[in-house]
Amino acid sequence: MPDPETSKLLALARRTPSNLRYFFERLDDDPGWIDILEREGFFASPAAVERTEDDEGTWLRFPDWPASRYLARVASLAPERVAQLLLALPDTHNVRVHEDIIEAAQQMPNEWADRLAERELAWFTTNSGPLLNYAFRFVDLGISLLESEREERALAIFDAVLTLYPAENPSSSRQRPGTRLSEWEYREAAEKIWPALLEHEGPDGLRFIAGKLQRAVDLSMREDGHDLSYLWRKAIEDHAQNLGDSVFDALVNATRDMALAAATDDPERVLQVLGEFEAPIFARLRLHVLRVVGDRLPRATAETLLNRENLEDPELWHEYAELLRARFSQLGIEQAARLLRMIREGTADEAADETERGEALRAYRRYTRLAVIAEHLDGEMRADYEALVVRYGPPDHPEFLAHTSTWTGPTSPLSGEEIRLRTPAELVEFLNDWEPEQTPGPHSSPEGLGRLLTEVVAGAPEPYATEALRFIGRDPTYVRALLGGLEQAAKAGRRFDWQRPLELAKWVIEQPESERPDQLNMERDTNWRWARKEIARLLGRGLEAGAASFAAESREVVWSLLSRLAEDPEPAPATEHDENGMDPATRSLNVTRGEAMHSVVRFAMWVERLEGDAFQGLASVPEAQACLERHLDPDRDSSPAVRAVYGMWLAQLIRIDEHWVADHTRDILPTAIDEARLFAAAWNAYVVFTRPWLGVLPLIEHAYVLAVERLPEEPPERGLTDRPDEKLAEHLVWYAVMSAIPFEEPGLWRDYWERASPHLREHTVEHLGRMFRDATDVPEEVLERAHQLWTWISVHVEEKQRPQTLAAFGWLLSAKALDDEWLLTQALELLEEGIHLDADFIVWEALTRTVEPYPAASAGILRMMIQTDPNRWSVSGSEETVRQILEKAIASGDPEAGRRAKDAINVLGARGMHGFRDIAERFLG
Amino acid sequence: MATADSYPPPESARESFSLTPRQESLREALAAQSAEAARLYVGGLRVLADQDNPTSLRLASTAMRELTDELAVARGVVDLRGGSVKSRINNLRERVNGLSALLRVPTPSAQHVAKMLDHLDEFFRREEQINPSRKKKARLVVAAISVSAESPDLVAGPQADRLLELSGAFSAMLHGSSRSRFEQVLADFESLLLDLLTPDTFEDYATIDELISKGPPRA
Repeated sequence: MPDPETSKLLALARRTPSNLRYFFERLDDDPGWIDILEREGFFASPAAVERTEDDEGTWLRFPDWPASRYLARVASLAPERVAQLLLALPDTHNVRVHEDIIEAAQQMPNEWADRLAERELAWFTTNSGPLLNYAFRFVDLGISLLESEREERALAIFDAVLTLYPAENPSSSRQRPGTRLSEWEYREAAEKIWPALLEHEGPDGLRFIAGKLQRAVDLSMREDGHDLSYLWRKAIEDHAQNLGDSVFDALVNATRDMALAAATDDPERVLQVLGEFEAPIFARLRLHVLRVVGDRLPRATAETLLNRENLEDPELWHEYAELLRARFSQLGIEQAARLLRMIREGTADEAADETERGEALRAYRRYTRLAVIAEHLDGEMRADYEALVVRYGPPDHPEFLAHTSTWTGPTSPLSGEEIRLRTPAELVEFLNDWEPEQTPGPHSSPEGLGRLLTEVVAGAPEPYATEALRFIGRDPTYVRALLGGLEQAAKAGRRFDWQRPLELAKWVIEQPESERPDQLNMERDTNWRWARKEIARLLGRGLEAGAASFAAESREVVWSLLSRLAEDPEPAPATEHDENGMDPATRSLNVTRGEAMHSVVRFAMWVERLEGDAFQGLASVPEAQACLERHLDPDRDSSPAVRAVYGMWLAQLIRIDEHWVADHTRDILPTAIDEARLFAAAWNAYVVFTRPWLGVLPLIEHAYVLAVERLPEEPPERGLTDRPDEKLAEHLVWYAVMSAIPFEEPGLWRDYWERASPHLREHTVEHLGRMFRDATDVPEEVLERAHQLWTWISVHVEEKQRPQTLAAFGWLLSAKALDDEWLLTQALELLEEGIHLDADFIVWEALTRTVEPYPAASAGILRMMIQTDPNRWSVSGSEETVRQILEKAIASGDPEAGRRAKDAINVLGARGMHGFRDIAERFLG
Repeated sequence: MATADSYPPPESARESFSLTPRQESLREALAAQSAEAARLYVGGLRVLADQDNPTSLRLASTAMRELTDELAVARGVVDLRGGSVKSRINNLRERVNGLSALLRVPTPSAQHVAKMLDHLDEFFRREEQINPSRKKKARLVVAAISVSAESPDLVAGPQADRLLELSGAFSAMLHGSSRSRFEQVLADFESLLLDLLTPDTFEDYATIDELISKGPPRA
C-alpha cells in the first residue's frame, strides 16, 4: 500500500490523460519509480491504436504511451528490470510502443537486447500496419547487435526489413517485388545497412545486399533471362537519365556503393562476389566497378574491354561505353588495335547483312562506338569517324542506346539587348532574312522572338510607333508582338504617336483571312486572328483615361477600326458551346469581337470625357449606340461572351444613359427561358464584376428576382472568377442593410433565403460581417438594419442548419461599427448553443478590442471558443493575440473574467499548449 | 383570510438559487458540448435547491442521469435517428424477404448470399450504434467530451468506470436517498465532468511537481 503522498500523486497522475503524460515526463530518468508503478498497474495496458471511421474511410492513430517512453529513458540505468517489464507487456499493435521497446533494447547489454529483438522480430514479421519510424530504429538495433557479435539476429533483422515478396502490379503485366517499406524507406534502410555489413564482414557482406537485388530481379525477370535493367536503370551511376526511385534503384545504389567502397581494399574479391550473381545487372555493376578502379586491375580491364560479347551486348552498352571512354588509354598498342578492329568489323550478324540497310546499321554502330573514344582516334579510323559525323551529325549522348531530352518554351534568335541595339528598320531586315530551323528539339522560333519584341516595344514604344508601317507584310506573329508591346506601353502611360500604329492596324484588319485551318502552332501565328484581337485590346487602351489616351481628332479613324472589329467572326457559335474552363465574361476578354465590344463601351465613355457637360448620353455617340443595339439582337449576335460585355458594363451604362438602359433592360437581361443562356452570361458578368448600387436596383430588379429563381441547387465549383451565387448574396445583403429591399415581408429577400443553399446562407452571414469590419461613420439607421437583419436570420434559419449558418457570426464580431455589447451577447448565446464561431483569428482579433471594456464577456467568449473548437487548433498561430486577451481579462480584476480566463488556460494546457502556464502562475497562483 | 398556501414566501428557494463559480464553469463547459446538457444540469441544481419540494432529489437524480444520455446523443455516441425497434426490424424483414425467394433454390448464387449477409451485418452494426452497451457508451462519452490532447484511452478506463458508477448511483437514488448522499454523489459527478471538460491542468501539474520532488517511495 503506497504512502498517502504517493497515493495522492498516483491518483493525480491518473486523473486526466494530460496529467499522466506530465507525470511520466517529470519522472525524468529516475528508475526508482519502476517498482511502485508496476505494482499500481501503470505498465499493464499499452496505449491502444485509436481507430475512427468517417465517410472517407478508417483512420488509425498511434498514440504515445508515456509509460513506455519512461521505460525507454531509464533502460540504461535498470536494464534487467526494464527488459523484464517490456518482455511481459501484453501484445499491442501500437507501433509507437514498439519503437520504445527498440529504443530501450539499444541501451541494454547484449543478452537482454537480443531477447527483446527476438520478440520484436516476431511482431515485425506478422504485423502489416503502418511503421512510422520503426523500421529505421529496428535497423539501428540490428546494427548494434552486429557490432556486438550477435550476427545471426542482426542479419535476421536486416532480412526482415528488406524482405521482398511477389506482388501483382495492377498497372502492368510485369510482376514487381512487394516490400514491407515504402520505396523511400527501403532506400534509406538499405543505405544504413550496407556500411554496417561492410564494416563487419568486408567484401563478403556484399552477398547480402546483392542477394536482395538478385531476388528483386528474380521476382520480375522475364523467362528468357533478361532483366531489362537497361530500361529501368539506364545508368549504374547517378544520372538524370535514370527514371526513378524504385526498390530496384535502391538496391542497385546500395550494391554499387558497397561494391565501390569494398573495392578500395579488395577489388578482385568484389568482382568475384558480383560474378556469383546471374542477372545482367550484375555484369553492368562489374563494368562500373572496373570503370572506377580499373587502374588497379589493368589486366581484368583489358580482358573485359576486348571481350566481344561485352562490346556487342546492347544491355551492357552504357557501362561498357563508359568503361571504354575511361580506360581506352590504358590499353597497350596491340590491345587498342584489336579493339578498333572489333569495332570496324562489327558483329558477325552485322557483317553478314550485305544490303543497304545492313551497311547503314554497321555504319551507325561504328559511329556510336567510335564516338566515345573520338579523342583517341587518328589516321584511318579518325577519317572514318569524321565521315560518319558528316553523315549523322555531331554525336548526341552516344553512351546511351536512347537518350531522353525535354523542350521548354519558345526561344528567340536575338536577345532583348540585341533587339534594343537594332533600329526598327534593322530588325525588320533581320526578320526578312531569318528562318527558324525545321528540326525537332529546342530551337528559336518567331513566337520566342515576338515575346522579346513585345517587351522591348513596351519599354520604349516611340521608335516602333513611328516605324510601325515597316511591319506591313511581315509575319502575323511579329505584327501582333509589336501591337502587344504598344498596348503594354499605353497601359503603363508611355506616350507615343498613334497615327502609324492605327494605319498598321487598318492594314491588318483588311487582310483576307487565311484559308488554312487555325491549327495549333506553338511557334508562330498561322493567321491574323491573334493580331486582330490585339488591335481590339490596343484600341481599348487608347480609349482609357491616361497619358497615352487618343486625341479627340482620332474619333473617326478609331471608330472605323472598332466598328469592323465589332463584327469579327470570333467568337464563332461553335466555339461557345463548350464553356469548360472559361465563363462568357472571361471569354469576352479573349476573343476579338468580345474585346472590341468592351472597347465600344469605352469609346462612349471616352466621348463623354471629351464632351464634358455637353455629353447627352448615348445620343452623343450614335455610332456606338447603334452598334450596342445591333448586338443585342439575338438573331444577329447570339454570343454569350458578347452579352457578358453588357453585364460587366451595366452599371456604367446606367450612369451614362439610364433611359437607354431602361428601354433595353429586357434585351440585355432577357427573361424568356429559351434565352436563359444569354441572361446567365449578362447577369453573372454583372453580379461578379459590379458592386451593388442603389440607382441600379430599380432598373434591373426583375433580373435579381429571376437570378434568385434560377439559383442552382448544387452550387458550381469555384472557377477563376468569384461565384455568381455568392456575389448575388452579397448584393442582397447590401441592399437589405441599405433598406433598398425589405426582409420583414414576402419578396426578394425571403425568396432568396428560402432558395439559398446552406453554404450560401453561411456566406450571407459572413458577408454581413465583412461589410462592417472596417467601416466607419456608418449611419445609425444602417447599423440598426444590420442588427435587425441578423436577428431575422437567426430566427429564420432551420434548426439543423444553425451551426453552419450562424458560425459565420464571427465575422460580425469583427465589425467595429456595430455595438460591442450587442455583439458579445449574441456571440455568447451562439457559443452556449455549442456553435463555434468562424473564423477563429477574426474572433481573437475582435476580442482584443472588446476585452478592456467587457472583460468577463470577452473572456467567456474566448473560453467557449476554445471549448467548442472541434479541431483543437483554434489558437494555433494566434498565441500572442490570445495571450493578450487572457492577460487583460485577468488584469481587469473582474472575478468572472479571471475564472473564465483560468478555465481557458487549463483547457489549453490539457490540449498540450503549455505556453500559457506562466499567466496562470503569475496571476492566479 | 390568506393562508400559508395562498402566496409564496417573500423569498422563495427558486429566487435564492445561484451557481458557485465551479458550477458556472461546468455549466459553460457543458453548454459548449450541448445546450440541452447545460439546461439539464442547471435544472437539476435548481430543483435540488428547492428544499420545500419533497420530490426534489428524485427530479435532480433524473436530470443528472439524463445529462449523460444527452451528452451521448449530442456527441454522436448514440444515434437516435434509427426509429423504433419495431420499424428497424420491419425494415430488415423487408430487405431479407426480397432476397429470400432468390435464396430458396437448390444452388443460391453467392452474390445473393453475400447480400443477405451484408444486410444482417449492417443491421447488427447499426443496432450497436443505436443502443451500445452501458459500458461502451460510457467509454465513448468520455472519449467524445474529453478536452485532452492525449488519447483518452490512457485513462479512459477509470474515468468511464467512474461515469458508469455515478450514473448508476443517480438511478438508484430515484428510489430514495438522503440529501447528504445525493450531494456527495453530485460533487463526485461534477468533479469527473470538470476533469473531462475543464481540468485543473496547471494546478495539478504544480502538485505533481511538488510530490515528485520528494522522490520515489522507499521499498
